[in-house]
Amino acid sequence: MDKLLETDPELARFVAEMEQTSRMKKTTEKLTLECWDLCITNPNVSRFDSKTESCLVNCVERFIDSSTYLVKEFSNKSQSVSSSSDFADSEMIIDDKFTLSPEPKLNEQEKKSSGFKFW
Amino acid sequence: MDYSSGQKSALGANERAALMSNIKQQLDVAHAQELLQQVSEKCFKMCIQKPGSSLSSSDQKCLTYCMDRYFDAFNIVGRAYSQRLQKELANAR
Repeated sequence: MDKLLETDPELARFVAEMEQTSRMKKTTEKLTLECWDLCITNPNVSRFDSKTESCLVNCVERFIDSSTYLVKEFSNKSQSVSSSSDFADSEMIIDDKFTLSPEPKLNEQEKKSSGFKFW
Repeated sequence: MDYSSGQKSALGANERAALMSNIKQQLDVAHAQELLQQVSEKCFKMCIQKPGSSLSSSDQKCLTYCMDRYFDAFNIVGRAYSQRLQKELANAR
């Protein structure tokens, strides 16, 4: 497959796009799991009220704020204790859990494919 | 899409198109399975608080609503996330 991707830029582009779409969907799935518990008290309704909707939106915004804030706090800390190898390990966990590292890449692609569909 | 450029590729245009749609289909299935699993978990918890001897019609109604609302929530969350990404991107420029 790797060799195929090298010789086939069209396919390589497609695979990169699919990877990015998957990453975004995974993050959305994770955010939905978290925010559902925080915002939904009664799912037995024919539609959400505006309070529930804004709770979901705020939940996403604050989750991203929180992880951005923690990454900043963390890098401040790890600068003062940069010799500790524990921090290097924890940094990997943040990458996996909060998917912050792929986001810059995501942004670039997001420009190109404006017609992104979540569902 | 410029399919003629891949002259050195081992794949013909049809093969490539078939492979692409296969990849996309597999990802879609995986995504649907993941969502379904999440819906089952969340909606069971919220709708079936006292499991009776069978699934009552009011249980079923709640599950149906809950599933629809979960998809709503997924879409709202997805939109908010995507808009935030775009905002961050605009700020970075």
